[in-house]
Amino acid sequence: MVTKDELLDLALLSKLDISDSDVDKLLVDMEEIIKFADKINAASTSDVEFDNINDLQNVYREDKVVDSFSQDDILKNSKTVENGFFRVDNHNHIE
Amino acid sequence: MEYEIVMGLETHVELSTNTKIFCGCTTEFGGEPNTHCCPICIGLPGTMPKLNYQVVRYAVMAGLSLNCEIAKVAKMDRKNYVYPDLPKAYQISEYDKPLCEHGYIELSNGRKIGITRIHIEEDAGKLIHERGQTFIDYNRGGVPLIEIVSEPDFRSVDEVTEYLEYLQLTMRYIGVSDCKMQEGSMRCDVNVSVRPVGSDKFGTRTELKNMNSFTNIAKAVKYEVQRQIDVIESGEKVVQETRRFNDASGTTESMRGKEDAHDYRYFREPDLVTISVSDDEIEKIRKLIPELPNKKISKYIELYGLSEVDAKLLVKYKRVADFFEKSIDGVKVYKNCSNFIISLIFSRFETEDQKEQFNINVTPEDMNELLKLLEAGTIRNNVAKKTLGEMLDTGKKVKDILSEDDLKGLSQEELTGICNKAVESNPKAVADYLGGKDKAVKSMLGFVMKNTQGKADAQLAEKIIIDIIKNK
Repeated sequence: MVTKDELLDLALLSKLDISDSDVDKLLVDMEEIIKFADKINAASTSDVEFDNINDLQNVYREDKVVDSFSQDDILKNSKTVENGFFRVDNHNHIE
Repeated sequence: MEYEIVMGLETHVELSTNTKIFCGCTTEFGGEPNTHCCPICIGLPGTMPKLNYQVVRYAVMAGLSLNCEIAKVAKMDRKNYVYPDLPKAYQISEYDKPLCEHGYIELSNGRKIGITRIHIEEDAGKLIHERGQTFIDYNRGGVPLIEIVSEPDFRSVDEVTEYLEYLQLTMRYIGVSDCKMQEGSMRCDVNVSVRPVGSDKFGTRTELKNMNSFTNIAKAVKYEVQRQIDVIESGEKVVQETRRFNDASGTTESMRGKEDAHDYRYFREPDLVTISVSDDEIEKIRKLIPELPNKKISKYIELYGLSEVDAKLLVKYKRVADFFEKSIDGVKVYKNCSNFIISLIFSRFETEDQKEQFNINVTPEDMNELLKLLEAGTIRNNVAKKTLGEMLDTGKKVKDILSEDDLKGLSQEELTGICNKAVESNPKAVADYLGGKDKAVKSMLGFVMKNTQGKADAQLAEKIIIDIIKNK
């Protein structure tokens, strides 16, 4: 069971404003999502050693510099840009 | 009541790799905003991180230098939090399987400070808060860091300072970081609590942030300790929270608000595979580690006979220590070299950074030549000093500065001859000396110095003069 408190806590962590009217609907959705993932827990893994799906390890890159993207390209997807910086309003994240 | 301070440190050290931890962008400090970036380090969907092996190598070097065990299996995890310095809304770090664990640093008072763990992670971007808005530069985002977490073993501010200085020096020696606090390549958070002396329970701790120098760390801790004692003495309770050091007022202030959000919901980073450093590889990396500063200091004291102060001054800067060691090859009196470096060369530098760089006109080979001439008695100390000064000024070699005459030195016979002349041409001084005025010798000594262009050994000359007078 996902409680209302847990839902609101998650919303806070994700910086989401959730109105009271949304809560009931979201609780149902969250419940469905968790139930879906619960299926994984049902699998018996007691005798399985599992690391990652490809059983890979030590995949590395050499420490060689490659060209970065241009500032214009980096900022292209942002709606609010100023003097080469991304710009955001403080009310979204203020400490 | 008497209180005891209990502290633990979390130190972030930026690694001196060429490229970022998960992409090929440069790690160079500064630059125009958002020009050292690519889709990977600004977290665009669909991009995949790929781990820079140099990060693993450097972290293992750091671990071995701090007496850590290196994990057979390590992995990376996502640490989730929403803040604009992280474009992905998570930082890739290591949670339950860090690369290095269970190390320690031994302090000069004999106490050991435990190193709980060292893990690798990516740095966040830089934020500038202005006019109610935040400006974001991701150049630093994705620069590799190691976080060195200590046990809560510190009991005084001095211990903290010594630990940090040692950490900084060690990281510089092994070449994994320049550890510049001002540029943020070394950053430190301090967990502070107090408890009544004799108690073995920990008090409630606060975490101090935002200190960019060793002096500020000491100031912040001293302030915070007194604040906590005052809170307890007034019958209230210390609140567990993060506090920011305010440089201007010298106080710490609560950063409440962020605190309730401390739930990072770590989970394994699915885009990166397991890290497994083999024993062979660990041994290979161990061989890359040079002699560590604490070993060097004891060597300088015990083997070279330097004072502890001088030894520490030389070892404090790796380039200086390297220069010193190359310069004394085949030399017997090591102190001449340390004296020249400390009194003549250091005095030419104004900043710590300049000492660190140790950019001088003189090669260790030049210095070695000069030291050997001095040791053989060919030139006197004052001549050596003057010569070194000129070498430093002009970059000229020893042989270009000293004439053949200088290099010939002064034989005992020549010196005795000049001393004889000094006695003959100063009958008044001789009479004064014989009359009990010991100082009268000095005027004859002056004559000798003048006539040997300062090459004479003053003590020896004085002895010869006195012998001549007495045997007259």
